[in-house]
Amino acid sequence: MNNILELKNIDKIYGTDIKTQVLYDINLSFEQGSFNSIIGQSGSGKSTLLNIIGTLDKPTSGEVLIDNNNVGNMSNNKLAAIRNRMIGFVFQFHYLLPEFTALENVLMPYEIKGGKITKEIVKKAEEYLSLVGLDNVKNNLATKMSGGQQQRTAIARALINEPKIILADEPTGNLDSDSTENIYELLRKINQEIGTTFIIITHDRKIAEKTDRIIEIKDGRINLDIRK
Amino acid sequence: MRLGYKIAVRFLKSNKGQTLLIILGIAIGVSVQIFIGSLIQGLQKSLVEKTIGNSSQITISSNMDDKIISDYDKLLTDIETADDNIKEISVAADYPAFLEYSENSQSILIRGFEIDKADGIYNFIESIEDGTYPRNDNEIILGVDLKKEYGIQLNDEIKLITTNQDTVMCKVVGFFDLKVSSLNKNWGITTLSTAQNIFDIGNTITSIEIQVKEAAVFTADEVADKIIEKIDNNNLKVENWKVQNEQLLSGLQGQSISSIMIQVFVLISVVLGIASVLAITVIQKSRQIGILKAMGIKNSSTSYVFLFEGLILGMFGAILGIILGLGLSLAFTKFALNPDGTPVIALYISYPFILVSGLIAVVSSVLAALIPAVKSSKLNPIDIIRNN
Amino acid sequence: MNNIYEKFNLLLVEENKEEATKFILELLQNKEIDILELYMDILTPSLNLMQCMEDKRLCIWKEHVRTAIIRTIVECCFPYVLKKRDELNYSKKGTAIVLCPPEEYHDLGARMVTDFFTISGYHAIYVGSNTPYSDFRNAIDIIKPNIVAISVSNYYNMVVTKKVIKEIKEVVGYPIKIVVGGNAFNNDTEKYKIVGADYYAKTYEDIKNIAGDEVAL
Repeated sequence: MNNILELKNIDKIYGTDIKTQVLYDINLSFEQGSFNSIIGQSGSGKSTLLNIIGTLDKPTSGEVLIDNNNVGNMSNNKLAAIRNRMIGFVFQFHYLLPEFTALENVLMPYEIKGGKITKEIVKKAEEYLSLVGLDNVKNNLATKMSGGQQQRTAIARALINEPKIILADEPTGNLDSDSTENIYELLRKINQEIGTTFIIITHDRKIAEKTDRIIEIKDGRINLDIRK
Repeated sequence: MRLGYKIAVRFLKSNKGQTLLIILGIAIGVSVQIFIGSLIQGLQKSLVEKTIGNSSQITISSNMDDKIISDYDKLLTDIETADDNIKEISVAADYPAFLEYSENSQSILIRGFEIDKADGIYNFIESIEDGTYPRNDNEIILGVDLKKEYGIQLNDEIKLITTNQDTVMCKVVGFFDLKVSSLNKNWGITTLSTAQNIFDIGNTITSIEIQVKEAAVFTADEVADKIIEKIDNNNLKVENWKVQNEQLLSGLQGQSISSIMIQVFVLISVVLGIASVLAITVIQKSRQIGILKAMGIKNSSTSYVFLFEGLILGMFGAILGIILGLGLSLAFTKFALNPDGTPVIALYISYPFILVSGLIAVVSSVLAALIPAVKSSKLNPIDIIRNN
Repeated sequence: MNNIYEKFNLLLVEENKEEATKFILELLQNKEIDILELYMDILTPSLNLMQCMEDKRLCIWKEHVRTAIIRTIVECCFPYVLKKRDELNYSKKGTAIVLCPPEEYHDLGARMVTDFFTISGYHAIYVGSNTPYSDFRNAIDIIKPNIVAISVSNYYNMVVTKKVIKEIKEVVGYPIKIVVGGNAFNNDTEKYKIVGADYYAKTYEDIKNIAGDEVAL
């Protein structure tokens, strides 16, 4: 299997005067189409790691290779393009744009890519929305939806550009257990049907125990890296 | 850019109260600017109009003792081609004389004009209250004040005695009212040839009077300089109204400056208002900007969002402001009236000025949006993602 | 042996607890099957090789019922375990405690392994499923076992297993041995090293070997 993502000797230090090291010499690689989880206590550095993987944050030293491209020396615009096309984000606080409807939110990454809104793409967005079970609320403003609905919208949004990697930071963090189960089933279905690589930060054992690989981060280091 | 516009519109629509407030702020600024501008311009226009509108703005006379300008035909063509801003050129033969009518007598300035040309400057024909204007030799018109004072009737004969003690009889064919009593009392207007005959000066004149186009009224001195250069004759003296009316001029300038000052400060307050509100919207929308950046929007595109917000606010503000300003001006001219029904101050509605005011508002709104635009482009998505 | 397995399996499919228990106990009674054979060749495959043929939604239900039947049989077998221990008469070897980490509920394997330790000459203590971490650490101080066997089925529990093992090794002042086993480790015999255990055990033979090592020490 190809590695879609590789991290080499990643260090992350915050602060200039008072230095706090959050990540120590992280080496990881993720296979295309794999379904991974990252666990660890709060403050362990797992979110920082995910942000570095997602090119939102830069490592102090070390290399991030996405699809064999080193993102370390890319310009901001190049990174933005990588985020737009290669990576889909799903965050705990779903981060929808409240001014836009569910459908418009889903279409947003496509519009950022520069695509013209055609009937085909709207149909595709609607398909993703129905995949996440939101046919009936697709024209609701983001603020007029429940937490679970918003989270599922965020997942549909992450899918629209058919990214190779989906990064999810506590995607079920503020959902009840039924919604959690639904979200997991949904992510798994996408993984199996589209072959998207998933890296999911979670503290929910119900999610983690169902992933194919668990990486435990402890005090900025990989404490455990196990596969099912 | 298209996306930036779309997001800007949505941001503005989603916060209607705030949007309306900013537009209203800009609109009030623009309307005040238009109103004050029109008021001051109207004031100045009417003042200038009253002072120099019906008089010579550039006057060419002789430096010589006899005050005579001969061979003026070539001079006239020279003057005509000296500057595009020259509107009216009229020659005059002016000599003082003594007027006698029944038992009354007084000194009077006889002004011989080519009536049709001089009318361009003095508007004689319109200002004639009674009778007509002199067409033939030895016809003269006098001011209404003389008519009142001496009881002169239309078609009466008056006796004129020149400084050379020649006596000439003239027929009064009309009475004019130039709205300036010194002129109404002291001028007797006749044809050029009559004046030349009376004073026995052959085909010569004593002055050339010029009016410039309206746009060049305040640059009459420059026009005069061009004329001096063109005619290149030390025997001739070229004077312009600005030299003759220095006090009025400095008054007008003071007015203009204070008007511009008011407009500038209104503009500054509008710009500051927009800038500060937009700066706040960047903070309000920082979460959205962070999300968009995480999804891969370019930094420049987020700048466009705020520039478009500035542009849209500026345009709507300008349009509303123009409507308000015009309405205010119209109301002012309709309701602030003299007893005779004319407006106290005739506002000068200049469409170019209004357009420029609106344009300035739009441009300054976009400029005001620059700060938040730059701020938003520098916003790092990780700060938003991490802080939640 | 195959015949026995097939017959037993049929009873399990029918979920006939009474007949299944009777069937096994009679075999033991008549010495037609050895207790170790029963554990290794009949019960373990019955648990691990269960296939979910019918409605998928009933899988967990069925699995639980089957586990309950086998549990009853295992508990009934204890006299035979003791008999086997006395018969083999290995040297006495100290204490082994067998448990499942917190949140781990699949404990029947652990229960069966406890019997293997008993047979191998240990004073074997079965603690059971979902053992609270602090209780178990405090107990180690009192019991001072030679061996701690941790059974992990759900691979997520390897995380806590690693943590537990690390702390035990730090706290305990004598050479204690940690054995791990269970479904989480079965697909890779080297996996036990990841969590910091000393041994991986799957069969009675493995336990016997560990016991042998212990004696050699």
